[in-house]
Amino acid sequence: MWSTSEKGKRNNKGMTLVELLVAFAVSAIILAGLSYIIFSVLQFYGRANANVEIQNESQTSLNLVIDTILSAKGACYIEQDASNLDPATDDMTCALFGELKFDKNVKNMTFIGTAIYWQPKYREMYLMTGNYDLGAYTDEAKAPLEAIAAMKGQLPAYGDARLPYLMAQYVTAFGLETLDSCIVKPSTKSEDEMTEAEKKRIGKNYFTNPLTIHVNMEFEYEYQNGKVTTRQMDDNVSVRNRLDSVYIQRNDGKGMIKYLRDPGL
Amino acid sequence: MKKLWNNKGITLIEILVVVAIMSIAVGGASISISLAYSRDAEKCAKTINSALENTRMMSMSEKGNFTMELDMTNNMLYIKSSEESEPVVTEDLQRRVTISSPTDPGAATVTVQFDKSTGKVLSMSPESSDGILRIASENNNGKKATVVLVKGTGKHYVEYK
Repeated sequence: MWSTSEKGKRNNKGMTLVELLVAFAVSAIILAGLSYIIFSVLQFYGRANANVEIQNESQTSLNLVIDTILSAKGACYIEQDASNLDPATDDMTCALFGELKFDKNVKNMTFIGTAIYWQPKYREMYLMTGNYDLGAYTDEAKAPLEAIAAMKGQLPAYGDARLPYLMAQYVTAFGLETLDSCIVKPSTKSEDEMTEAEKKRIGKNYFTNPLTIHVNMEFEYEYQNGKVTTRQMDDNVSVRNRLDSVYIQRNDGKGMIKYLRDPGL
Repeated sequence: MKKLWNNKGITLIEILVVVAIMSIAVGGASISISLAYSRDAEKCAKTINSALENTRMMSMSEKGNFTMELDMTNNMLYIKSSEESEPVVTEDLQRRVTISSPTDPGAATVTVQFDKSTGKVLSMSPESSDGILRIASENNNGKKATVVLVKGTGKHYVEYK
């Protein structure tokens, strides 16, 4: 390695500072290139992992929502645009899929079925299934909204007590929308031109069986500081059972309305 | 007389520089080693978490009943199918990690089965009164990661505390 002169003495000259600096610069450039490659591979790996995670999350939670709607024995919900949620508050949406019973004699209501919740503040969804006594209601028009509020009250406060009902995380949007084709439009005919069957419809709202609901869910997962991956899922779901009546507050915002199953003309 | 040795030796500054460089190198190495060790628990919990997802997916899409079985004394994880005699998945978890279930600290194994149509938990052991099954992995440094399984919905995730 060491170059020696003819007399056998070592060449002690060594390297100059400039040579050393050049060597440093070259190795720094090579190292920078290598570290960039390693970094981008790691990032790709993180992104792929996050994508798998969010796909599992969205698929399994959408499945549960679909399953709940399919087997519902009744429905009471506010459509997405009509719910006016403020993500800064503790507010949440709650959709009831099950039998809502109003006891007119004692003015007491009960709910048997599944409630689906979405809380934007924590980006979480919850599922509660069971038989709930929701207490008193003021009158029949206000009762469905009061039932939704009462079911929100059934969900334990955020924390360990609520954990048993957790269904999904990273949910940035959840919305239900009744297909327009399921809602019978009021007749535009004048009363004289109507048939007897059509006249019976006046002042009432009808839906056509089966009730079909468009479910929309959006997910956002942060896998690194500031780096997110998103996923949107939607599907049309028809309620399998023949429902007699449902309560829906539609996006056009006319308040919670009771829709009866259309008997046909 | 001709000198046999070069007796000049090294200066204090040279020694200091060498010591400084060595300490930086050793420090960096030990930090990266301890970082790698401290991720053990996290990695183990992530493996268990994805095995749960795997079991749920197989239960919902394939023929037969699937069970995830976690042997916490030998740190082994299996996914077993009713259709096959051998486990479908066998995974050797990290040896340096202690796995236990805070739900029942005495339990030696955890088994979980999922419902084929909904993906909710069909049965789990140890059973818990609040419907939550926790599986904690802890490494030698006390770093802990816990897999949380919600019985009512089948939801599961890793919690770092």
